[in-house]
Amino acid sequence: MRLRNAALVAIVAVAVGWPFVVENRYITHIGVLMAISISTSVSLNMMLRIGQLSIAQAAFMGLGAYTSTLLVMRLGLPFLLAFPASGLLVAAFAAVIGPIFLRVKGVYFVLLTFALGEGIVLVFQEWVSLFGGNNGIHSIPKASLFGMTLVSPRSYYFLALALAAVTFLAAVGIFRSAVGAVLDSLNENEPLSQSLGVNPLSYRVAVFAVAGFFTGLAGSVYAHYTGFLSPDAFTFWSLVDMLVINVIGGIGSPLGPVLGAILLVPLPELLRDVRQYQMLSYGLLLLTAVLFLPSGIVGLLRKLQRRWLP
Amino acid sequence: MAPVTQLLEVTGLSKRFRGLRAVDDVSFGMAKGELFGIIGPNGAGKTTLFNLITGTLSPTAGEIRFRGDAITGLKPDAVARRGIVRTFQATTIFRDASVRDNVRRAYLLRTLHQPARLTVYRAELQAADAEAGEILELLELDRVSAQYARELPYGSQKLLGVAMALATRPRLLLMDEPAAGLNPSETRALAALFQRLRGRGIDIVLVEHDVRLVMSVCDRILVLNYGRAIALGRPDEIRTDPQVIEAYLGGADDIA
Repeated sequence: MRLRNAALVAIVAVAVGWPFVVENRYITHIGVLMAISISTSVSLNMMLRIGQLSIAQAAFMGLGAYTSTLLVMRLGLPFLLAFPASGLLVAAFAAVIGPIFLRVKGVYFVLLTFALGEGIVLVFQEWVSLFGGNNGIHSIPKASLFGMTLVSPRSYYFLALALAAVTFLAAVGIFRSAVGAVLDSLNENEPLSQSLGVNPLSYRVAVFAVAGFFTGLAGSVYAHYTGFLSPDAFTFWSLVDMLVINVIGGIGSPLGPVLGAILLVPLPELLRDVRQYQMLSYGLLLLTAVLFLPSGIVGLLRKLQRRWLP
Repeated sequence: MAPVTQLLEVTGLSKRFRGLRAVDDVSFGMAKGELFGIIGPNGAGKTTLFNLITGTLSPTAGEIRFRGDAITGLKPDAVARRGIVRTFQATTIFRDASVRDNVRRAYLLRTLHQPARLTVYRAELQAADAEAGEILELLELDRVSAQYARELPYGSQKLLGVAMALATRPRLLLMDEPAAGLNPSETRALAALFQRLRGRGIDIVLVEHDVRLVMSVCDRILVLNYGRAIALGRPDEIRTDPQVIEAYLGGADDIA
């Protein structure tokens, strides 16, 4: 237990402290992307835990990003309001479509959310007057919090890190609580759980909405950080990134996507010199993980922990 | 017959699968305090009737009333929350949880039936624990409460299924072939359990293959054949009913 607390303190110290030691804008930039990626991937992890792979999560991030951007640019709302609004809007959207979409399961849900995601991106592309079409939206105002405008990558890193931490703690909290026991029961044996009185659809919709909420918030941070939005950031391929992060990190625990994002987000940058081999190395890494680490990095760590720390 | 308060009332219930009439215009009423049996040869429609009552299937025609309210077409979880809880023919339990946790989970699934809140109060968890302990004692599973459910012998796994149903505090327990796969001593223990459950005010509908068991414990019996109700009455009436004997042709020994 003491070891665990010490490890926790060390992790928090490193996560908060490194941007002061490594004063490199580019590396901090990767840190921001990493933290945003943790939020979206942990959100996707919540869906995977209930056995429903939602392909629309990337488009949901886009919904959050455009919502926050338009609220600030068109309606002049402060970021402090636009930020939570972007999460709430995506959550509300998920809560409205959830009762229809989550009636189906497995591959049908995957296909349905794929179509939904493509549809949302198409709206971003075709509704030029609102979303700026394929040219996107430029010069998105920087986020400001309590009269302080966030300009430096480091300040965005802390914003994104806070969001990542809250998302992670929410996922851990939900799945460790009694609600988590209900969700695991539904995943394990739905007919039995339903025969005992639980309404399966209502729980799936709730998880869909919570996952949408955090994904929307991540979209908002992304928009104000990059200052530029275009629809192609929210396509199917962004979802594949979130999924690979989950698979390599391990989908059985919210810690999986955290470790997956820390490992995988910097990878394209590290492989920059061998750009032509980037997809190939990505593929090899995935293949290795699936074949040799079926429970991801988390599974490997658990195995090592059992061997070395009895 | 004097009208009694009907607990469960089924009127003109039918279920068709394409051309097949799995359940065909079945009507019966069950009074509070009764132990009601449903028997019939293989493929008679027993399980389909059962699934119609629990909401697993929705009927083609007809009505089901429970305590005076129509419950026709409700989803299984809504039916369960009204107080009709089923047990399954096969063992249906959470295999990787302990026996006690299975019962505790059943209580939670009923209590947190929708995600209206995120926490369960300590008092409720204590209530769940107390409830689980009491139920396990009632079913004589208290000695194995720490074991994994998957490690239990088949008969005890079926009992655990009953324990989980009880944890949701049902008014009416629908048991789908509880005696299937049990040895004679387990079957005797099951018959004794029915009496204990009745003592707690829980009514039971028994769908069973073991005609002897049904004849010995049930107050009234409905006999199905090819989806139709061919007889309804007390065991002694059923035993001598020519249509029932006909349906069990060659199996008259089973009935005697």
